[in-house]
Amino acid sequence: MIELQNVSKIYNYGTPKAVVALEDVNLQIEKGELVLLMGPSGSGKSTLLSLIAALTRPTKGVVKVKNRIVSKLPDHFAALYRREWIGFIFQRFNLIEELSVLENVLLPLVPTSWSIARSEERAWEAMRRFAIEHKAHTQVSKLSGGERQRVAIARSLVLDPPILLADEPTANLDSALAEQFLQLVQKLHKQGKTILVATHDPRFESFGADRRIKVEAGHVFYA
Amino acid sequence: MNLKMLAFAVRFLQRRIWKNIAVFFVFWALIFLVSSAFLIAASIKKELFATLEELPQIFVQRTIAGRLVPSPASRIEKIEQIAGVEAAYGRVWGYYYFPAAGVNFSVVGLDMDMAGFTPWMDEILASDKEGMVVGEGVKRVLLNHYYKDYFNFITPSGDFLKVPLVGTFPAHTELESSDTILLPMQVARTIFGMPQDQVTDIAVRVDNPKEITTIAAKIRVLYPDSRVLTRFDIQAAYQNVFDYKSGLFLALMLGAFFAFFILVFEKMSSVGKEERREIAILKALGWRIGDVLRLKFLESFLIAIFAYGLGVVGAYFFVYYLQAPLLRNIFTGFSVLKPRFELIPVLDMGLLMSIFFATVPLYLAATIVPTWRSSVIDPEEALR
Repeated sequence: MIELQNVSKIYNYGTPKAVVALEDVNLQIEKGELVLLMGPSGSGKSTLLSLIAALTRPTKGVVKVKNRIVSKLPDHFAALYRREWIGFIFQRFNLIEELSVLENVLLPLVPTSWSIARSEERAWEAMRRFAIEHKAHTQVSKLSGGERQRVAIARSLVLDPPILLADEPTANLDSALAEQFLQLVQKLHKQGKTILVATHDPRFESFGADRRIKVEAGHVFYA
Repeated sequence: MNLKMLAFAVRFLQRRIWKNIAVFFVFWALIFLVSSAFLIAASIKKELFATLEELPQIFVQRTIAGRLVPSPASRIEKIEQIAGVEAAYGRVWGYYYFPAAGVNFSVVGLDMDMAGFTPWMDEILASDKEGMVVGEGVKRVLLNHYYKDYFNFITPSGDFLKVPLVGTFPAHTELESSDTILLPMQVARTIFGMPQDQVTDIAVRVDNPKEITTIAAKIRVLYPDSRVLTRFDIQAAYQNVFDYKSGLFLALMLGAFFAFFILVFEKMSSVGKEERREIAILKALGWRIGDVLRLKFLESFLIAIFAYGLGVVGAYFFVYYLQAPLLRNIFTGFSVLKPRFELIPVLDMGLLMSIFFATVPLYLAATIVPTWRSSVIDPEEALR
């Protein structure tokens, strides 16, 4: 499903400030797999997720999703690929603070050809699924950390993408909320989604993932 | 048209409501002021030129050493003999100072027996050809000084000359007739103390308007000391005055233009960190560059089109319903005898389009260019 071949990512490439984030990474993830990317901050986990989501391009190597090279897609098609294939939960959620919960969840649906009614119906469905519908018209800036995360999850899954990428999803959550999130991931996994969670949270140590991959100093080690 | 995109554009505008209201206000004020100035100028020009259409086609004056002097009345007959001239008649005119009000009246003496000057004047003079017809401005001043049915002129010899008031000019001519007193030529001569055989100038009517220039040239040849003005010359002079005044007004509005261009420049040169992050979020959620540009275009277009629309409608209301208080003085001047004319509604689509194309696309470009610059970078880079 997801394949990285000899992927390197160097920020500020060719300048004195060049930073190697990933070096010669080879990785294969099967459809429906739940994979944990474990490693300390700055090890390259987030970069790995960004490369899979085509949010950035590798300096070297290729990223394939379902045998299609996504790392060389022009901007226009990279956006369509993200819309169709990827749900991304960011570490800081990356919600638009001044918009309401409903509006944030609607955001991925705006550029689609769906009607307003159908889009809203889908957004409500996603909010209900992640138990945030009672806050639909509340401005995101007024929500707690847990509520924000549920909005971020609802938004990432509103278009029902086959791949879910979560970057440090429990970093800003207390134990109870983190536990809820772990259960939710398990549930999505059972539904057949391919899930990659990048984390250095020890609460994931006992989490029942299909695979754990250790990322350290830009290199990938299979556990 | 993606209605979801439009709804989100409105929502995005609401988020920075005060900033957007400030931008809207500057834009609106600029459109309002520019449109008002042009609408006033267009209206006055239209009225003035409509009135000028009624003037004789040629005026002949005499100069000595570059200064205007009275012409011998005998020239009228000679000019009438030029082929193509329908009629020529002398006029005696000048300024009469009324010290009690501190104003000058424009006194015009005509041969009142001459028919067909204008239909409305024939009507007024049908009752009494010895009296005077005055403009609305003159009438107001006279009434303020208790002259209701007549006025006492003081001749150069110090005698009083009582002239009855027989009528006023129609309201639609007030722009040019406000300070005018029209009376028999003989009476005008007495008021100014002019000799019987002299006139101030000679008005000439021509059968065929295409021959105006040729006949003017013939008059110049016949009387080389004459200054011959055609109706076109007068129209051009008025046009210059109004264009000059429009330009002057626009120069006064440099401040408003300056504010607008600062606004445009500020938008051109910077997309804030927060806005860059938002664009990256949208792209991460599957928005294409085109989608982001469409959203930002709609945001700016809503501000620009409403500012433009309300600016033009506001200017129309201000100029034609409120009669442009303060602003019209720039065009008509400040005077006791200031005409109380009505600004006639003129909707010059070319003019409105010019204002539109000089402002709206500029503002849209100022939004789109930096948004495009921000949206071509990797979303990850902006989110990091």
